[in-house]
Amino acid sequence: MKNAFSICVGLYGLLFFAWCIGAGNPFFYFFYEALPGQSLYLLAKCFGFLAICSLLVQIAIGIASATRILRESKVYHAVNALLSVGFATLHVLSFLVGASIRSDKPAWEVVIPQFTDYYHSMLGLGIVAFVLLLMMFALGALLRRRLQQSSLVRLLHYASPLVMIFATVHSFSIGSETRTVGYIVVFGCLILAILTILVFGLLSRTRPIQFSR
Amino acid sequence: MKSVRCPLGMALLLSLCLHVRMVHAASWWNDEDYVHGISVVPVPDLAIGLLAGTVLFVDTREPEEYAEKHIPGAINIRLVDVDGVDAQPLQKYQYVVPYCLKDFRGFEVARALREYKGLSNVVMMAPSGMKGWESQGLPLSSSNAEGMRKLAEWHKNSALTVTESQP
Repeated sequence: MKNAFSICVGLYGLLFFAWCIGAGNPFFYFFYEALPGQSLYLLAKCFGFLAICSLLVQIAIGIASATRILRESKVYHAVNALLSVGFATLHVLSFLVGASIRSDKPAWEVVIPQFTDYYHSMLGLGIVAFVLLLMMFALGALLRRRLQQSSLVRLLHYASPLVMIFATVHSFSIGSETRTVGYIVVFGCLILAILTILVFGLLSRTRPIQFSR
Repeated sequence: MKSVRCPLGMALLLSLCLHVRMVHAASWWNDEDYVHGISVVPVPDLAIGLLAGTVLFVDTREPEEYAEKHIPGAINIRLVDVDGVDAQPLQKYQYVVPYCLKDFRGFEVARALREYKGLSNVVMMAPSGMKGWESQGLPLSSSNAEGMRKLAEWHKNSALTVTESQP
């Protein structure tokens, strides 16, 4: 558990560093005046970036677990799930508070899905992804604690890729920086890591068959 | 479990620090001070400047959002596109006003235009964003021609209102 957590902290520390480089100087908001709530908007962008990366990492762990190339994969899966939920919650909260401060009243419209126009549809998709993530986390916790081992719970938990799909569409459609070169490089590296794990996993599974020949 | 709490606690602490900083920033905002070199101009003044051709609005949202409705006469430049912008034609305006729904993205573009493109005529509107524009009874449109016509009507009506209310 401790090792898994240290590795995750190291990984997200690196990703945070990458985000800082991509965002220019995020400490700008500590030293200069900005519009009310702007610093929370910046924080929301940071947590959003970390959340989407954590979902990609979760896929990598899932593949590594399925192909049995990672020991204690369940621990990594649980720790990373906790971080994913943490990042996503902070992303939603900081944007909600930032928008509320900016408009001088509670901006509930940013957390209630409204599919009225392009922006609100994409925002709504993000909220749906967040709610699904919370549900997946709860189902995962039930499975992990062996409180509920029914096949239905397991089946529902396998709907997790939906979270990834909705969150990716949300982040790439209205995320103001997700399509910059630096971020695409980071996402590319994570996807490359996923593919590498997949290939290694498949190779390690087929190797005994090759040896038997 | 203790090791799990530590970074979460740090994240919360960071959020709190940023919040304190933000509240401080808000007090400066109300003093009509500039925001890191970016002045704030009331929406009606900008609308009149738009009709006179001295103000350019820059819509910083996605092209899909821009196509749905925007401030009349606005051009579409996203934050990711600022690098490729030719700043020369923007210098002839008295004010260049980046905006979005609530001016979160607008402020980032304003900063980028000022810092990376050297534009000194970048301002933000007050109240912020398209919400602020609409709160003043000003029109949004998907077509520039129609939007400018509605804006001219608004100007005519607002001038009448001012004249009527004068003693």
